[in-house]
Amino acid sequence: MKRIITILTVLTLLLSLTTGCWNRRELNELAITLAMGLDLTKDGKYLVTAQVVNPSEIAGDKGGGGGDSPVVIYQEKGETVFEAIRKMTKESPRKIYPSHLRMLIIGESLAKKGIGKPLDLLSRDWELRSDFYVAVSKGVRAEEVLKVPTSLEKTPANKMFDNLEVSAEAWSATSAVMLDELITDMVSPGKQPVLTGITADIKGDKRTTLSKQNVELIDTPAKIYFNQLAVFKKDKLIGWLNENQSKTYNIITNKEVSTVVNIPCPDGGKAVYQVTKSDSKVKGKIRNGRPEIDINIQVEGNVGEVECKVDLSKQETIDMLEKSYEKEKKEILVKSVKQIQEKYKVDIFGFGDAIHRTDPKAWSKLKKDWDKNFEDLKVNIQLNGEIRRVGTIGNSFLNDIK
Amino acid sequence: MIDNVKVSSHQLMILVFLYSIGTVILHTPSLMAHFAKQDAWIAAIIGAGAGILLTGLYIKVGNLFPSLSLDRLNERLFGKFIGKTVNIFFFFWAFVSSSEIVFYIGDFVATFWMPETPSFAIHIMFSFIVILAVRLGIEPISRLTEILFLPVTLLLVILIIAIVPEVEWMNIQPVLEVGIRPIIRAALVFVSFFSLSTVMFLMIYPSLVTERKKAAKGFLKGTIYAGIILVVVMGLNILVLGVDLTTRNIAPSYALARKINIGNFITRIESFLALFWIMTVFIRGVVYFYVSVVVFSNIFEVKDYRHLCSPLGMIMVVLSLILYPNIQAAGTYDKDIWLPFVSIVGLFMPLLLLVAARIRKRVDR
Repeated sequence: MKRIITILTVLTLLLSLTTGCWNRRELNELAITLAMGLDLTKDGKYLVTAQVVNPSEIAGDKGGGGGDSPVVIYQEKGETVFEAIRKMTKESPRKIYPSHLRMLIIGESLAKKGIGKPLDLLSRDWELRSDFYVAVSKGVRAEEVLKVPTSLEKTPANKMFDNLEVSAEAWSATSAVMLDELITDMVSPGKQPVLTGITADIKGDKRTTLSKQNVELIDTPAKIYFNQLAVFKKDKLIGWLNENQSKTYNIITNKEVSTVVNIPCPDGGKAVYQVTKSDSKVKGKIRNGRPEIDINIQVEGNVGEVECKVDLSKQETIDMLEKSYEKEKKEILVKSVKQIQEKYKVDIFGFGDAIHRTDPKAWSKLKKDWDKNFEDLKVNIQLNGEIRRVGTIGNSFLNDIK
Repeated sequence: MIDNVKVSSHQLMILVFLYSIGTVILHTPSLMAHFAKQDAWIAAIIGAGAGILLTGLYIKVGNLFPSLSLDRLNERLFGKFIGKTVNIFFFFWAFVSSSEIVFYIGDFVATFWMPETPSFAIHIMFSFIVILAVRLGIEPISRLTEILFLPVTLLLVILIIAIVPEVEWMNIQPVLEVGIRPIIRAALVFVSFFSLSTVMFLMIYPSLVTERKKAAKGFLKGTIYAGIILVVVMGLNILVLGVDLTTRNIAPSYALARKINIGNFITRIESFLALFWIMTVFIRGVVYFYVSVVVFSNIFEVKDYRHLCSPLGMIMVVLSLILYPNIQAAGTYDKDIWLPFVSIVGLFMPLLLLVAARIRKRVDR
């Protein structure tokens, strides 16, 4: 009897301890933030924009909800980011909950002034994981990007997230960068960060296009799309890469997954080389006391499209197309690297890290003014492209159109 | 000692294994990367090797008088007065360390999971089960370790396998850039956490084990397995996170688990994986607390150490709350003070015991 009473007492005591935690927060108390925007206001403060999901609108396909917008925007200004986020409770009935953040958009003007300071909060706060993508809004403010309703993906944040992943995989001119990588690049003396750019294109009256009407039209008047890559020097935006330079960046840093390349045919017309596998090895060396970079790129792919008269049944034609691809691509690579060296003078490719890896002693001397060294660094590019398949037909029917 | 309980060699092996993984796996990688940069994994290998040697030393000391636990051995070899003084120091060290474990759990939970929960609530709950376990005695504890062994190994294997796809070999290059000195410094950090404190097991080995020879092997095996796991995790930290993030993170191995992403499907499982950490730290806390209670009761010749569990436990909770004002203070302690502190009990005490034993033998002859 005594034993039972003791056990019961202990159990009751334990029960009181296991009721939950002090800071339990139920789902209906959270403002789940999927995207966040950081802008700079005219008076030098941060303008934080949080895109919060409206759970009743996106729940299920039962057509539930009263046709409200799937997301809602809260905005607040503050001298620090944290201050602004906490201030949002003035307007938001729920506390901002950023654990499921997918996209962070940084306004161009803020990026030019430096992104280091506002990013500290995002790496320090326990509610944030580092698995969200960071992008810079080009030509528009971050808040404007976040205000565009999207179709296909109801929540704009998911649209941007998926969009960026798909585009980085299939076209390889955008770069999906997560916070960890960005921070590592910012502090590393041998590699400078690159972020993808995002733009909003808003036609017509903002009152109607930024409403639900936008997604009711087939050709939506307001669009968001990824465009170009932003080059950073430490944490400051200094310029934008064009498409060829962006692709070059992705190939050299081994981020290219798949893309297509136009190649010229010998007698006019074009063919398309479809990259299925790309692998680059960057090696740093010191030759005659000067740093040098050897890049060896192995590409595998298919013939994707033939818009000229060639005989694909012959081995020589395939060899010829491979050569032609190699020549074409190498030209672009060499040119783009040169342009980046001359125009931006920052090492976005991680050549400094490559030298650091092979020759740490030389690197400790070079590191001090690496930007200067990078500018007149000799870069040797080796490219080897293989064609594995030609698709489901051999010779094109174009050959037989007389 | 009324404790007639016995620990099998297999149980001792698991006990040493879980104990050694304990706090080490979460906090030391950051400190080691701070010193040895990308060569921290080399330091871990050196440290693990040194740990095995130290275990050999402990086994040798334990075999001097197989029926005596470490504190009895101190009294026997150093004489009653000096022996008791040494034991008071030993107790103090073990007791402060057990509070430190409680602090670590509280701080971890508060930083990553429940920032608004008052930390004393977590401290009390954690200490409660530690005290409960120690009250039950070493035999239930070692049986518990057998139960915990499977989930801990399983979670560790999941962590290691799941993170392999994220490995970036470039992160450890260039090898041996920092030179020998920082690597040795980092190895010392590793040794100080990983093996110098296993001197505690001289309270269990050999006086409380069933077969001495086999138990010695179990002791050694436990150290070796734990060493392998820790070297692998240290290496993965550098390989996946890179030097910068490993150093910057308060708990790099937790950040490592955050990185797991298999096909966008198995992600965000870090809290689940942290379970193994909680389990191993619990074992570490239990061993520290058990040792401090037993040593304390032996100093004052208390018949049954169990009576002292609750009072010392309460002191432990309070001590854990006032030990450090914040994690930075704990970091400074770990970096600068812990090594000399633990060397006294973990290295000098056993060596002195060996010397004393030799002298006694000669005198007796």
